[in-house]
Amino acid sequence: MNDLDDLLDSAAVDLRAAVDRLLTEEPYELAPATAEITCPVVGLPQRGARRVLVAVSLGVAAAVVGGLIAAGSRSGGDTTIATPPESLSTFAPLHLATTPTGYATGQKVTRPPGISDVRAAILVKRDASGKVVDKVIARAGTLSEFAGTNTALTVPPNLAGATDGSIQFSSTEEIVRLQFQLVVGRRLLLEAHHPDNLTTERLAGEMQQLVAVLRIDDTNDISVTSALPVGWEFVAAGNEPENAVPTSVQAFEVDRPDGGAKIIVSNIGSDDPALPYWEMLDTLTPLTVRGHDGFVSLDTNVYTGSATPVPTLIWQEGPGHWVTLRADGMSTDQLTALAETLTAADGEWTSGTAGTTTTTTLAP
Amino acid sequence: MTHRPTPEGSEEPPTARDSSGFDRFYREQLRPLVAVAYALSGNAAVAEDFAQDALLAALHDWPRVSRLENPAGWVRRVVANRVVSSFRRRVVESTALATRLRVRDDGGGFAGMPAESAHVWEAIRRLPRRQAQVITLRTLDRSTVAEIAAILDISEESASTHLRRARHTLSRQLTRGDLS
Repeated sequence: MNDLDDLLDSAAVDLRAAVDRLLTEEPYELAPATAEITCPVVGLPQRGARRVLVAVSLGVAAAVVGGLIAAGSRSGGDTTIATPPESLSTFAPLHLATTPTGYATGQKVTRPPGISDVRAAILVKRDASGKVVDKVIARAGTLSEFAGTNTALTVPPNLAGATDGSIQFSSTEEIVRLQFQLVVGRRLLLEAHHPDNLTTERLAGEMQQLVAVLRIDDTNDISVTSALPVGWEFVAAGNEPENAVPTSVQAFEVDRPDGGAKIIVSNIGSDDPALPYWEMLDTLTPLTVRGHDGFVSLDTNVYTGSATPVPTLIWQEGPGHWVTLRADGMSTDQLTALAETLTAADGEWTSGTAGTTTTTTLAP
Repeated sequence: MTHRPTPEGSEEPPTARDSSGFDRFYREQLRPLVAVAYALSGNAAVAEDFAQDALLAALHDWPRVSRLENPAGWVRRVVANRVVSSFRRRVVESTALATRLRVRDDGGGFAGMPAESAHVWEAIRRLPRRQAQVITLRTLDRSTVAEIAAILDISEESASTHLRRARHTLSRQLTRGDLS
């Protein structure tokens, strides 16, 4: 047994314990065999069935969920899954109707919103032309401390009751991270992407100025108490889109078997005009997509593993319907052209069977 | 979730008789599957989703899966393959910063894991996909190289190479005092 084996063994024990805590704290309940099952996602009964798999995993109920799955998978099939009262008005999600040449069809999934007490805020800095050049995301709530090399910071007086603070420079994640212990179990995190060491010191200084003007209330809502540092703007705050209710996210990917290049279309049921700020990394450039005002954001390789920046388009296709499209290995122009080929998916995803034979050729 | 036809080509759902044995299989596999998914994704909510996805896939095709030589390996392969590609998608698709999901995760049930162990799993997740899968199965399940190769549908030589490279990288990263 060497040091590495000791570390791995210990990590395995701790992870199993964490899983045990998770599954013990949130026990699954048996669903009544004949009851209607409400689904938190509109128009996708098969996903509703998936979400309650564990709830109906025992005994005869397994057959019930099997029936639900089959019913939800058949076009026009009857289903006992009720539409929940909190449902969004439906929209027809955009998708690629055929599999691009050289790709294999990946997943089509619908993700329900998460549940979290964490509230967040987005602060951005613009250059003289108005282009966003820096972004800080602040989060407050039940958050654990990030491990790593943390250097102690003085807690600013506006964070009443906070007991300690630290700053961390993660070169592997290219993130500057400020952490403050508010009270037991609650933390405040500020994070910003720093693509190179030249930006780190300036960004870290400005992040400390930002935290000095934030107010965190008892419900973790984040607001600003006084003037922000020069150039900075408070653009959004509240529950993050993926945690907001009701919001549904539908996505599928077209993925090469090597796990490399992929195309991703996401449909987000939200009316939040600040959504692009939540979704972007740190740059956001205005762009017209499918005739709509949109943006392009570039993700660097630390997040994507790609040799070149990966563009992501985001635009509002219609009321309550945001769409993002990204593709590894494409230029922004190619991606914008690909966006023009998206079509409506008749209200819900159709079957996304791997190995689809219909193909189309991507623009060069 | 795509409905899979049964081996006979029928689209009928599994019956209570068909799903015989699934209850036990589910009880035995849920925790280890969540553990594998968490190790590779770093996200509690996602881990549960992927474990459920894999178990649903197994239930859906249970007459066939239950007759496989290693049904547990089959669901592990489903989880291991889906987690990597989908987690990358989720990160890029929905994140403002790459740590967003992990932040949410930390508040979602895995809070309290010692920092040193969390650091180990973060290092594993930064490995290339196959290396992360191989070292995770080895670490969590004590799987042999042959078992790992069978689960991931790769050759034993390939599994051995990935395992060796993963251990080499982790040794360099984790045992040189950078766990602070």
